[in-house]
Amino acid sequence: MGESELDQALVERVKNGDKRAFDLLVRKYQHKIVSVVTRYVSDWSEAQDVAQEAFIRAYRAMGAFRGDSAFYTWIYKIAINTAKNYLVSRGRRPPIGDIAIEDAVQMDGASQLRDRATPERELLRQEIEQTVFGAVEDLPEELRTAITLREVDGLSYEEIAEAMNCPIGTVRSRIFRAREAIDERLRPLLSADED
Amino acid sequence: MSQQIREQLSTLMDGELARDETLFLMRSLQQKDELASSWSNYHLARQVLRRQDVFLLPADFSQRILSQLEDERVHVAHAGRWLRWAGGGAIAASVAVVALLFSGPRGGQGDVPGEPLAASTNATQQPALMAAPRPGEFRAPLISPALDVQPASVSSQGFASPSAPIDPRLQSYLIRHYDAAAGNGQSAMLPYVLLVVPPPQPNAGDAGEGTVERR
Amino acid sequence: MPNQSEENVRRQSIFDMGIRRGLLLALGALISCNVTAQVQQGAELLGQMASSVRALDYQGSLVYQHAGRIDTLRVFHAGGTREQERLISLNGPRNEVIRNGNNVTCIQADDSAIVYTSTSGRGLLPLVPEAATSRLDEHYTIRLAGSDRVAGYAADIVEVSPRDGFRYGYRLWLEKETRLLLRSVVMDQGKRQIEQFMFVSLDIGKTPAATDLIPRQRELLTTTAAPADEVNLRGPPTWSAHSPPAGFTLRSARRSAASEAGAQHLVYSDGLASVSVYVESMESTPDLPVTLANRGTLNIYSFSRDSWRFTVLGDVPAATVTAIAESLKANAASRPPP
Repeated sequence: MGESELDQALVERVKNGDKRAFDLLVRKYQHKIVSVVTRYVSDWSEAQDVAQEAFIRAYRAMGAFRGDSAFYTWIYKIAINTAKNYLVSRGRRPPIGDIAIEDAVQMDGASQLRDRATPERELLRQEIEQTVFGAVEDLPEELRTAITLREVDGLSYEEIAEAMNCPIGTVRSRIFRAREAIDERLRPLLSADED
Repeated sequence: MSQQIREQLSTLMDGELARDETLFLMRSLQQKDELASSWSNYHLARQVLRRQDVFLLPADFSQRILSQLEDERVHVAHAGRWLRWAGGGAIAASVAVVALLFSGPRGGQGDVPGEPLAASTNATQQPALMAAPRPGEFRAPLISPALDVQPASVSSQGFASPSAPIDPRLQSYLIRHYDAAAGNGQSAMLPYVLLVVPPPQPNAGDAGEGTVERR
Repeated sequence: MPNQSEENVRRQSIFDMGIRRGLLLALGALISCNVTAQVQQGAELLGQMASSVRALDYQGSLVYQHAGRIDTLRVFHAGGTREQERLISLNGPRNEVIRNGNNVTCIQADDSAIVYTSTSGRGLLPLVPEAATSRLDEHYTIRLAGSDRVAGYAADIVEVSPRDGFRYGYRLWLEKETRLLLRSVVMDQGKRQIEQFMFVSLDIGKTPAATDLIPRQRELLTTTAAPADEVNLRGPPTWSAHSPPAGFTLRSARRSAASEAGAQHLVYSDGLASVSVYVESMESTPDLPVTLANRGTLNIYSFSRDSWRFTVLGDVPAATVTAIAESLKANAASRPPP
C-alpha cells in the first residue's frame, strides 16, 4: 500500500479507538500543519496552539471522514479553517491574497514565514537541515541511494529493488539503516531543545 | 527487539508493511514511547530531504494533543461500539442513559464531582456514579446541581468555547431511529431535529427539561 | 273489510317502519360515510404530507418548542430523486445536520462530526405512504379541523387523536396546495401540548443554493457512497416484544453492518409512531438499574438482562416504551444471526 493508503489505514484504526494511530498521524503531519498555520498566524506560540487545535478538530470530525479526499488534504483544510477562525476571533484579518488550497498544498517548502521569532531557533533549524543532509552525504553509497530514491524520487520498494538490482528485503533494510543513521545524528540536536 | 520494531516503523511509513506486522507494531507502540520519537524523526528527515518546511517543535507537541483528547473517542454511527472502549471499561449504563439527554463538559474531563441526580433518584442506587474512571475509561457526563453550566473550553487559549455537544450515543441511536422510521408519517415531521437543537444543560431545579426515573 | 285493512295498515306501518328504518339506515350510512370520508381524506392528506416534505424544494425558519425550551432552526430542502437537506440551529451552539442522498452528517459546534449511511433508500423517490397508513383509524381518529394561516400560507388543519394512551395526538397544519407541513403540535391523550414546531418564514418552491446545502466546513461533508450502516437481519431477530401495545408491529429488524454478533435494531410502529429497540451485548454483567428518561416527546427506557443491554426509545408516551420493553423476550431456539 502506498502512503495515502497508509493514512487511510491509520484513520480506520483511529476510528476504532486506537489513539496511538492518531499519534502517528500527528507526528507525521505536524510540520506540514504548522507550516500552513504559520501563513496565517505569525506568532510562534500561537501558531503551535492553532496547529494543535486543528489536530483536535480533525480527531473530532473523523467520524465523518470517509476518504472522499486524501487525509492530508482534509486535515489541511481543517487547519486553514482553524487558522482563519482564530484570526477572526482575534479581530485580525487573514493575509491578503488568500492562498488557494490547491496551490498551498504545492507550496509547502516555499514559505517565507519561518519562525523568525528568535534567531537562535532559525539557526537551530538550519542546523537540523544541515545535519540531515550531512548524514545522508556520509552514508555508504547503497544506503544513500536507497533513501534518496525513496524520499526524493518517491519510488516504491519494488521499484527501488529493480533500480538497485537487489531484493526488496535489502531495500527495506537499507532504507531503515539510513534513517537510523540520520536519527542518531538528530537526537542530540533535538533533545537539546525543549520549549 | 526495538530495532526490529523501528525497522517496522520505517517500513510502515513507506506504506510497505504487511498487515499482520502492522497489527503487531501498533500493539507494541502502546508500550514504547521512544519509538514514537523515532517515527517523528524519520518524518523530520523526510521533510528535509523533500525540501519541505520543518519546524522546531517541542518534544511534547503531539503529547499535548493526545492529552486533550484523552477522554474522547471518535464516534461512529453504528451499533455496538460504545459499550466497549479502547482501553476497556464498560460504562455504567444507568448513568449513560441519563447522560444521553443532558450535556455536560465534553467527555467529563476530570472535574466532575460524583453528585447524584436531583429529584427522583433512588438514593441507594449510586455505585455506578461513584466509581472513579479507570485510565482510558469513558466517564459519561454526570448531572450535578453543583455543576457549572459554563461548558469546559475545549481548546487552548482564547477560542470561543462551544457548549458541550450532544452525546454521541444519543446521536447514534437517534440517527438510526429516524432512518428506520422513515416512511411513517411521524418521521416526515422534521426528523433529526433533536440532533440539531441544543441539548439542555444540567441545571439546578431544572425539572421542566426532562426527567429520569429509576425503577 | 276490517281485517284486510288492518292487515293493510299493519303492512303499511311495517312498510313505513321499513322505509323509516331504511331512511335511518341510509342517513346513518351517510353520516358514517362522511366520517369515513374524513378519515380517508385525512389519511390521504398525511400521505401527501409525507410526500411533499420529501419531494419539494423549500427553505425557511421555524421555532421548535419542546421540553420547556424554545429553539429556532433554519431548514433548506432540495427534493426529488436525490434529496438534500440541511438543518441548522439558530440559537445556542452551532449544530447542524446535513442529508445528502443516503448520507446523514451531524456536525456539532466543536466540529465533532459523525456520518451515517441510510438504508431506507429514502430520497430516491418521493415516498408512497405505507399500506399501514390506511389503517390508522384503528388507533387514531382523524378529522379535519378547519383552516388557518401559517407563515403566510393558507393551511388546512388535520387533527389526529389517539384512541388510547399509547400514542400521541397531533394537530397538523398542512399547506392547502402542496400539503407541506407548516405547523405541528404533539399532544398527549389528555390534549396537553408536549411539543410543537411552526414555520415562521417559509418559501415553498425556492430551490436552495448549493452553498446552502453544505456545511460551513465543507470538508466535513461526506459524499462518498458507502455501504449502509445497518443491514436487514437475514433470519428472525433474537429478541422481540411479545405483547406490544395494540397496533405496534415489528416493521424492521436490522443489525449494524459492522457489528459484533448480536447487536440488533428493531423498529415497532403503528403506522404513525415508531419505537426503536436496540439490543446490544455487554462485556461485563452487572445488572444495571432500569432507567426511564424523558425529553419532550422522546422517551427512553433502558435495562439489562443477562449480558444484554436494551434501549427502547421513540416519540411515544412513556407507557409505550415501557410496555414494549417489558414484553421483550428472547425468541425460542434462536441464535444471534451470523
